[in-house]
Amino acid sequence: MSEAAVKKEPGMATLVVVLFAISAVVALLLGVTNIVTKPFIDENQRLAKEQAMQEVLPSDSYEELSYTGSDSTVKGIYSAGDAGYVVQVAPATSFSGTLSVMVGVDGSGSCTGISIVETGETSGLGSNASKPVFKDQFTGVSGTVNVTKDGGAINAITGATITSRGVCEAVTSALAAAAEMG
Amino acid sequence: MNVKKQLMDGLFFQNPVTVQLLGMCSVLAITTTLFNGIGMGLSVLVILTCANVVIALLRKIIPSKIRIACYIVVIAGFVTIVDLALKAFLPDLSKSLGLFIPLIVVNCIILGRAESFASKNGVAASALDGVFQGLGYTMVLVIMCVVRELLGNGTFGGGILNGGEGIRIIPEGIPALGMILPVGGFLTLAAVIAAMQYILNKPKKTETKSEEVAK
Repeated sequence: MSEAAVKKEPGMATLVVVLFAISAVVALLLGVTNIVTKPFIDENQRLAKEQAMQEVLPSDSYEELSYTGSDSTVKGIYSAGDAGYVVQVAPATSFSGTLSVMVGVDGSGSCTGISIVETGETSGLGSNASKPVFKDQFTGVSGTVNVTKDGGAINAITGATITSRGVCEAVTSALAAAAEMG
Repeated sequence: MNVKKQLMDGLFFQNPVTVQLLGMCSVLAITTTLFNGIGMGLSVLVILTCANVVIALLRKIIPSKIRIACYIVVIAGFVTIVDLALKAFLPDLSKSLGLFIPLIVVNCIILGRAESFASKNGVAASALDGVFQGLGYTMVLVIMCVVRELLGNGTFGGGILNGGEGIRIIPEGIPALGMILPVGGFLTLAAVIAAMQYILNKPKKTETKSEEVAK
């Protein structure tokens, strides 16, 4: 900062102009980056969602339905033709905020599979929820789902009981939501 | 400009993590698998280098009173660009690092180097400083990842090798899970810093070196 110290102290106007100019240039760059990357990001998200839906309940097409129930954790419900419903749930219980689970529900009201769409859970612990050894336990379950610690049948992920509870909660909500839809 | 000195400073004598003790939060949080460590280290390296170059270019224009605000704007801009680019072109890595990419904005390594180096040195030297400090950071991340992953999970190379599972070295059930949890992060970091200080202080003490360490 020795160079700046030699010059005379800049006035308030200079401070405002410099900070404004730098912010304006950065904002412009961000705008350009956003325009360039947005189509790719949207496409990636759409693909990820579609892939998650195919994974939990395969179907040729999905139709988005409006959910009228009272469960605010249900973020979206899709009809998969005769096969049943796919429900996206962001459970209230999660270790670090953003957990979003896609749950497939068949006509008889049991779970056909789950997929973790979005997770901010601890890498290496809670993020293990997307591994088959945990996920596959949900295939075929119905009614209220719980981890073994809470008297249920799901083995929690080692070191990530809260995340496991969140996923169980999501599955329970999804099954209830699908039941409401008929 | 002394390239070799800058390299040695970045990796050892002025290592951002073990000597300057900057950026502790991300070091503790993400060092659970090798993939995370390398991804995070390289992201910081790129952002640090870009921010250093821009700040070195602007160092005569930015008034000292508002320099911190200017640095933060520049850094936040680069972090957001990298974040968007990762989301668009490397969605897997972006998913795995999650929140920690946006959090690079508040990683004090970047602000620290802007303030203590890029604002006083030329563009080329600042770019090199960014690369070498980034390498120093990555090196510590990798060491911590390997140790914590091995002791806490019993594997090596999680996220990259063996289809993301990592190569199992210690059989399941034996590893101490605590090493992956935050407490293991603190223990490992303490051990790494202690080892580094021991090695740095072992040779005949020169006055400059011990002074740097004291900071």
